[in-house]
Amino acid sequence: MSIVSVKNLTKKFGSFTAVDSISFEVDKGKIFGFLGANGAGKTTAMKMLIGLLAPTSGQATVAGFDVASEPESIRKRIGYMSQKFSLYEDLTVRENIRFYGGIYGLTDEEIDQASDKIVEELDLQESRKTLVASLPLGWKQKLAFSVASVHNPDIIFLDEPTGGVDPVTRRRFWDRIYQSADQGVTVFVTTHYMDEAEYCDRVSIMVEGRIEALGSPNELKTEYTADTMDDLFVQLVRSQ
Amino acid sequence: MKALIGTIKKEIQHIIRDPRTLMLLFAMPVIQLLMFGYAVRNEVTEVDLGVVDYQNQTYVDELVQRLEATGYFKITRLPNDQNEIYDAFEKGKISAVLVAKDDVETELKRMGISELQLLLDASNPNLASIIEQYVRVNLNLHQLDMNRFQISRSPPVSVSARYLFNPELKSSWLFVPGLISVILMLVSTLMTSITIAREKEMGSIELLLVSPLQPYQIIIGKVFPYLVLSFVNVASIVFLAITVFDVPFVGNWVAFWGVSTLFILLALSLGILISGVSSSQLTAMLLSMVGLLLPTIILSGFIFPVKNLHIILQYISAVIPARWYLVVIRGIMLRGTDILILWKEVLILFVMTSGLLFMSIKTFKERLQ
Amino acid sequence: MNRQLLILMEKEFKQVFRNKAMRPMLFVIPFLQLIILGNAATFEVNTIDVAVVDYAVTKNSRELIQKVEALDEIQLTHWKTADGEPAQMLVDNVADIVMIIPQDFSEDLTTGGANVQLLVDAVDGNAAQIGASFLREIITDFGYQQVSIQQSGGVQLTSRYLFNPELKYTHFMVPGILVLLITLIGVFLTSMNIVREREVGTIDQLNVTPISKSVFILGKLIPFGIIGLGELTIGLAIAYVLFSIPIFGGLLIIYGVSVIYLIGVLALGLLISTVSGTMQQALFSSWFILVIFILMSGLFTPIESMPSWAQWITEFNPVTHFIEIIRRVILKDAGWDSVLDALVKLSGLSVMSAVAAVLSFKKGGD
Repeated sequence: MSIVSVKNLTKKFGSFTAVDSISFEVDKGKIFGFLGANGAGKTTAMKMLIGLLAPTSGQATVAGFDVASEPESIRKRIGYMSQKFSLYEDLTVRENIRFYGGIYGLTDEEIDQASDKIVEELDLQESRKTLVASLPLGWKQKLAFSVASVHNPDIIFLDEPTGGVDPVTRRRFWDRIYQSADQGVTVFVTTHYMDEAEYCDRVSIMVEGRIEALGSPNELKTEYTADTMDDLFVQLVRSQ
Repeated sequence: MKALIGTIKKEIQHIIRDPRTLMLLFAMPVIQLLMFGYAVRNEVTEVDLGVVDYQNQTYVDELVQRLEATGYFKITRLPNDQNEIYDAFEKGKISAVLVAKDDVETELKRMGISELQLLLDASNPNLASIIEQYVRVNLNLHQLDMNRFQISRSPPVSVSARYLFNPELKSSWLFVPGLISVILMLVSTLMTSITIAREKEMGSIELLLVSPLQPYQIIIGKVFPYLVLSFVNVASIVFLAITVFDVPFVGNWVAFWGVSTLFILLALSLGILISGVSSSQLTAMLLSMVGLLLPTIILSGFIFPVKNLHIILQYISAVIPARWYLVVIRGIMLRGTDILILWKEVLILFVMTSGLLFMSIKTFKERLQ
Repeated sequence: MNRQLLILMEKEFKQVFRNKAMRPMLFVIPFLQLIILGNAATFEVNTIDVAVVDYAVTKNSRELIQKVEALDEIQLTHWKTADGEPAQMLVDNVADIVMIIPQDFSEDLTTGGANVQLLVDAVDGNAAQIGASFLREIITDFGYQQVSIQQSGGVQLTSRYLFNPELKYTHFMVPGILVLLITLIGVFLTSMNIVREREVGTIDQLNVTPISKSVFILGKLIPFGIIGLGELTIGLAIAYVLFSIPIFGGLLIIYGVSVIYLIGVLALGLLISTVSGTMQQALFSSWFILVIFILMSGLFTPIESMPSWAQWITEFNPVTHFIEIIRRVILKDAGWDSVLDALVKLSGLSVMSAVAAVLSFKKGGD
């Protein structure tokens, strides 16, 4: 069952085509990796799916709603973690949770429950009064993810969530993503780290605005006779 | 040397490519010149004067005619109605009302003395004083001319006043030379501080430091375009002041340029100093604007005379470099004062400049270690 | 939706008060400005440097000079009995006015036709006029005293100063400076705050949430509006305590008009934020616009003194109208009906500003 359905989605900025007629489907409860080099168009494509950019042409539906005509309905059902983590650095952990929870319509009770849960999960009991600014990067990452999921969205969009952290922290973050996926949340992740592709159920690789590869990591590695996703990517780019 | 020219070229490119910088460097000075040359002034050009004449007399009609003929007064006849008069004042429709209660000519014939009342809107006390003067002077002139029934005696001691240096009492002659100091604070100080702070913020300054360029060469490279711009600005303002606003220049050109160069160096050093203590462009901007530009505009004598400031504020004013520069250029341009008479102000500027130059380079070096 | 708005506002207040850099900008600098500018912004002449050249050197001339010297406002810098070039003292900037008493002063006095000449440094034309007129009054007065005549004869002009009988410049300037205060805070706070959210990335995060554009805008503007009104209150308190400005007569009108004004001002900040990518761009644009608004508002120099084309421009300046209203209310005890004309213009400008801001603020961030 597709929770994200994209057909010939295109975005042009003047004469420059950032996203060139891409098409794919994402099944519910799966982890979908949206890969590509920097500048390939991943972020632009994702912004169209979450309603931040209007498509130039093509169609896309998220959680059953059309991105061009029903963005408001989509927003209630999705969570988003931007590249810069975008938590409020000058608010505490609980205040951030309260803010985003409140925005998504959680009651005060629900917010308290969620706060307790998150604080326990992330082992932040002592940091009640600490501002987010003083948390280490890895914790901010996980917190941003938890905050993005606080309203139990159907699908979470992550834009380059693991930028700037060491491999161990990255691995731990992906554990968190698995946790969510196990609970039935669909995860849509963009990244330029090709090794993270291995963690996904299915991936697409964008090169210069087009999707050049689409399938599960194993399928693709067999298709292109590559050992790792890195090799695959290099092959793809070379053939351009 | 080639590297130095390279940095200068790069700086010029930065300037040209950023529309906001261009606006600041060119649009702002021009707009300010327009405003201070034409709009921001204390001259009374037209007084909305109401006239209430209880007796409907010829004397008043003749006086009104004279007032209108001066061109300074726009007369509105008002009925003898308190409410209407106060309403007109409240709504700002009139600035003053001349009230003639008695029959002036009859009174003069009978008792040799009569009275006219002048109600003034004293919200703006300055304006009110000047309007009162205008009316009074014209009334006296009218009497001397009319002199029909009594020889209104001219006072035992009469006073004749001659206005020197600015006979037409134009505000623009006072403000426009002062604008030079404000513009220099803008261009030399603000822009210099921002441009160096920007490099620090972006980290590219470290690149420069690692290069074979010496710190002082780096500073010169960054600051040179603004140095040139400063001279261009001073020259343009003086040129425009003389040609467009008829501001006189009766003093010594060499002295003028000597002191102006000193002040430009001062402004640039300030900019470097500010950038030295600022970690970001934003901080540099805030410091330059709130810490320097605002006090310069308010306390340097640019608009409000220093003499009339509260004593504490006068002390603060003494620390503001523009205050001394203003005395010198107003002296040179408008009075023709000899530069030697102005030695005190020049010395202060000189001391300030040297101090700032020294401190700015020192801070710059330190902060980068 | 209401709850969303409350949550947004809660966050805004927390952030503003927690921001260490903002605190002095909000709580120290405006009031420092009010106090300093309130004292500094004056065209009142309270010091006149007078140099006397007395060619007569008689009892009369000495009496005159002493009478002049006795005044607080006058500072006698030179008392000469001979000088080839009196005007040189003005050129050398050692006096504002040179008072020249001619040789035949005493003789002329007895025949009722004495004359004193004033050479006035008119670089500052305004101060020159006021100083000269002041001295003229003193000297004329002296003349009448000497010859013991009543200042009689002719038509006398009696002046009455309305609304500000003590001619206090502070009463005129301080209300205007209050307006300046709210304006600065309103525009800078709004524009820089929103741009900062954009720089840091939290705006994107907000754009993906189910917050509508209007809730977002209100969530920013209402807190800043409240802060603006708070600043106004503190400012009014300072005006009353430090400057003895009579604020209580028109408090209702002042606050009412402030709300209308703030809508326009905050919308302007919003507008600026849409065209600025970084905080310093926002700072710069705000300041550029505000300098023009403030200079062309009649705050420092009267609108009546401007040429007609400039006066026409000031009609489109909301600062002009607010300052006019607040001056009328405080100095002239004006009621709603007396400020109606300015209020209508102000409201129109605020509405235009708000509409422009809302239209240009796209939630999508395209």
